[in-house]
Amino acid sequence: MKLSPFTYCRPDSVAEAIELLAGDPASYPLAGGQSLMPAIALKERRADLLVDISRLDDLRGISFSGTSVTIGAAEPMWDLERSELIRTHLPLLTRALSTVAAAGIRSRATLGGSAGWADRTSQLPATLVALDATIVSSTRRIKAHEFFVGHGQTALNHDELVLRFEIPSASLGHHDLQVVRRTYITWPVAGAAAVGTDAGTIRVALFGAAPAPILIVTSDPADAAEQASDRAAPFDDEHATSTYRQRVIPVLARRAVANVLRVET
Amino acid sequence: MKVINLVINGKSTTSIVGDRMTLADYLRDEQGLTGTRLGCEQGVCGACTVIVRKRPVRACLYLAVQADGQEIETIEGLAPNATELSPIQDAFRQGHAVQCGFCTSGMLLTAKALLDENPNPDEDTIRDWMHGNICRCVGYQQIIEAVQLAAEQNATETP
Ligand SMILES: Cc1cc2nc3c(=O)[nH]c(=O)nc-3n(C[C@H](O)[C@H](O)[C@H](O)COP(=O)(O)OP(=O)(O)OC[C@H]3O[C@@H](n4cnc5c(N)ncnc54)[C@H](O)[C@@H]3O)c2cc1C
Repeated sequence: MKLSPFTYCRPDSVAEAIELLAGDPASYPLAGGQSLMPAIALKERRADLLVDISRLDDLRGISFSGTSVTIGAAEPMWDLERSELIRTHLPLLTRALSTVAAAGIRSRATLGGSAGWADRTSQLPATLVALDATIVSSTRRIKAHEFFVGHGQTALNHDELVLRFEIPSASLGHHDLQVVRRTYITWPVAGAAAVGTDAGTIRVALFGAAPAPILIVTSDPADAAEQASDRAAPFDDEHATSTYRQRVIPVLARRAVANVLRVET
Repeated sequence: MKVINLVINGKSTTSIVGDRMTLADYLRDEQGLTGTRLGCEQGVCGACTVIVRKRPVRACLYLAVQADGQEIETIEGLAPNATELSPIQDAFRQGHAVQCGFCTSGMLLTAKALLDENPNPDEDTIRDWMHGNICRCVGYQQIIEAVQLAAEQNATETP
């Protein structure tokens, strides 16, 4: 399981990174490497050139503007988990991060890498959708729910980098996270990330339910379950069957919405 | 090939490495530090855990070139000298937390990173950290208890 040959480079600027990516169709940005490296080792992905973006200043930092939190794409999950700013303004994100993999993976894995990988069972793309995050790339701004297109597929072009996330503060703490998984240190089977909005509705995003997160905006647990059941496009993988997912997804959607409501009343 | 500068267990070294060489292979094959184990080589098992900037990391998913400029702590750096054990190693010995020993380096380094950040973790916190390391002898209970023992010893030592 050794890595097949590739060239590694660590550019000093976003512009240089983009130029390198544009010049080679088998090039990839390298952030924490916690998805890309296993894929290269398992020969699921072939790379000629890895462009290390993890030390670029433009992709680092966590700040709060008064209404939204800005998170650098290459900021390790380890730092996000420990950020008081995120805990205060985006408690759902803090909670979701704590369920990802393990400390020894979150030490290097980044939010940008998780978005770039766009795994259909990951809790983080769904959390970004629920929180109505805006993804700021090297060329444009795009809403999370338009960014995630399918399993391992995003709206990004080959030579486009995610620079940062801008996430409206959801400080009231009305949120819920449902995660079904078989054991620790495996990806989830399915789940739901939900957050109450100022408008009184609840945004719930489902993962492990379809190739990309499903967003439901509602204020009624039964409606959430019905929409989840109608819109689920479940699949089989090594953790669960599509039949199981079809059954569990409406239950998780209903529970997540009910739990947010319970906190609010 | 790239030139890298690392500090490994307090000692500076400069090496020339191939781009695709992982930190785990570098430590084992170039530095002879074979206490870093290679299990799954895809990030799941945690046997290759080393500490970088106080954080446990998977040395199998980390390129040696990426580690350029970093300080690395491996299992060989844990004991203060050839005859004494570090507190966490001693707790593993006292608690019979070692069976075949393959996972032990990674377990010890994850536990050390935890105790360095949080000297008195509760059981849930210990389980949350340690679940990223797999023990195929399934000696988990003793491992958790050994970390608890080390934490208790920390508590009695802190005035
Ligand atoms: C054993 C194990 C268990 C795991 N369990 C979970 C889990 O339960 N839930 C979960 O969500 N994840 C899990 N992960 C995955 C982990 O969260 C990944 O690290 C994460 O998905 C990718 O982040 P990274 O920074 O390591 O990205 P990398 O692996 O470096 O990159 C991932 C992809 O994103 C691209 N990319 C990276 N950064 C950018 C950027 N700024 N702009 C554009 N593209 C970019 C890369 O080119 C690559 O295609 C697990 C991983 C392992 C090894």
